[in-house]
Amino acid sequence: MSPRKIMVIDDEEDVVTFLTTLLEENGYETCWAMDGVEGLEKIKRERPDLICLDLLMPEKTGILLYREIRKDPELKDIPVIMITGFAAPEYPLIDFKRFISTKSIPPPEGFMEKPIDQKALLAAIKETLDAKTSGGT
Amino acid sequence: MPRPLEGPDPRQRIRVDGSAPWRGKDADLLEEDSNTEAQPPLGSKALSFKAGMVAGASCAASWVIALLLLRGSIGGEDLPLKYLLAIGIASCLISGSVITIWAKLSIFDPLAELTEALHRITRGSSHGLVIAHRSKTLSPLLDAFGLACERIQERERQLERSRKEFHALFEHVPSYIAVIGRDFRIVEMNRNFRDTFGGVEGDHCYRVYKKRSDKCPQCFAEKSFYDGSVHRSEEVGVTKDGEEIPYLVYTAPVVDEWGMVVHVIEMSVDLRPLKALEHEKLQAERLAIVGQTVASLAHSIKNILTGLEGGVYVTQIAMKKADQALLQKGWAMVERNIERISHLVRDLLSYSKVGIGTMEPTDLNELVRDAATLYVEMARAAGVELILELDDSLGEVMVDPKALHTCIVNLLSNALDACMEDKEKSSHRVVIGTKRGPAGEVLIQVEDNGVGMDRSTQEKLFQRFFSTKGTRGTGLGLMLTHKLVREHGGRIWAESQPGKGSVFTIAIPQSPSAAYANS
Repeated sequence: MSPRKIMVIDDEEDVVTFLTTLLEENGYETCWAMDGVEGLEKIKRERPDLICLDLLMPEKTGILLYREIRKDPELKDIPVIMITGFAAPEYPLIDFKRFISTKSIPPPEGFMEKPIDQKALLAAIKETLDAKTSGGT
Repeated sequence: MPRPLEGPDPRQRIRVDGSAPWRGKDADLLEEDSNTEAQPPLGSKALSFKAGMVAGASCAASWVIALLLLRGSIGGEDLPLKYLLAIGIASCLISGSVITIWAKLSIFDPLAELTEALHRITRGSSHGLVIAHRSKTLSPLLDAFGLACERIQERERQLERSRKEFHALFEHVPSYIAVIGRDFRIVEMNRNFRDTFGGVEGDHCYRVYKKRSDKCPQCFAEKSFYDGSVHRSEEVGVTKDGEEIPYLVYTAPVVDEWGMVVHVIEMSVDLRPLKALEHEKLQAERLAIVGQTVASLAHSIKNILTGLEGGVYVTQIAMKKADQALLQKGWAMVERNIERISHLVRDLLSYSKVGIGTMEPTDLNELVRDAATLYVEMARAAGVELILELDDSLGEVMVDPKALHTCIVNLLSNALDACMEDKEKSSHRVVIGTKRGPAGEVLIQVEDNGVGMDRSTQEKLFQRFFSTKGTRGTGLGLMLTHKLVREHGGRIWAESQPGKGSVFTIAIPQSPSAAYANS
């Protein structure tokens, strides 16, 4: 079975380097983008098995990109794990979930807060991919 | 039309008694007229005597003429002339006396009393103006006079009341009031002024207000003398106990009947209570900002921590795999994020400082040169030309040099970053200039031809933790600069076009009082 491809989209280079290194070390194939516009293009081209998406980015935010992915019939089934450092008391994570998902758009498969807990992230990715595989077959 | 300020106006009446110049024109005129009176009034007895003599003589003459005519008409040759004369003289005496007494009582005595009363009025007294003599003949005149006297007395009572009210207001109004002459000497001061600034009438205003030995360089009383308008200024004075006191002063001209400005009234309000309130408000705002920023701060720290942990992880993997390139990458991440956190701490410390420190006369050009020196090497390495365009005529400005240095360094650092980010242009330059603004303020401008900013970036420039520098910025630099400039009573703004570059301008008021006011 060929390695699963995971795409990292984050405007911070350090986060991209960290996550791609982490994922590659754990047997995943990776690709990355530094903003939402580039991200959408690369998703269409690379067709990843899962996307790690940063919530706040310039140009096109993670939220907008997520909605576009979910609205695109060809991309809508790609699971997404949202990553954010923006969990301020006035903006609890739960609000983001509500904000992102609408009647027609389900919430993302996972949410991770920065600083990223490596084990938790890997576990979440594995779980999501397994769920997709079992659901898909 | 403005009049030049060349010594006192020759037409100006010098008031030697030191009395307040606004006591009321009526009172002054009465006083002056009574002083200029040279001749004593004609006495009532002399008037009555003269009147009696004239009346008697005219009666006698008319009787003689009447008798002569009578004698001729009845052909009284038989009647001896001497009898006729005797009868005539007797009749003359009787009728003359009756007419004289009547004229004296009915006309001349009341007239004399009226005359006396009028003279008393011209001497400035309207008390006891009751005409005792009654006369049917003169009753309309006397009634009118009585009414006029009542009105005068009423007016005097009103005037006195107003004078007392004005005096109470002048003395007890919670402001400092001083009346300044053209020679800048104080003509009159109220109690509040005297208690706060000390001094006596006749002292020079600058000596009393500011304990200076010469005239203030920018004198607003002089402006009011010159253009006859009201001026307003914020000044810093020195109390009689040596304490510095900020005050807001209005200078209002007092004009005479020819329209000449003879005095200027300076009305000042103590700004210390207002300053205390402003200070409290500023502190409260600061606390509020601290509260609001804690959340944003957490976000910043999380990002840095992510970078740090990532760096450590990448380094570990690189060491395990003996991958030199990956090791460098990981170590660079660690270094970068350590630098980020130290920037954040430094900026936070600057921001949490109570505010600007000691204001002192500062050569802004020197400040700009110092700041630019710090970046000469960096600019050279990045291939950015650093140009200084300084206006040498600026002189010294009251600022906190450390605070303003921080502001200039922040702008300069941003400008260099903007140039280094720009990959479009072949050559880059940063121009730091100082010049005087249209309203007399001092402008510091930092101009670059770097990447520039779009509209939405410009709108968020001075917000907390807003940064376009990704991993390098803390988003505090411009916010801090904005805060420091504002506390100098100044303004900061940016003009920019994406792809062309940006100009950041700091405007600092030249006047120390303006800076004091806003601190």
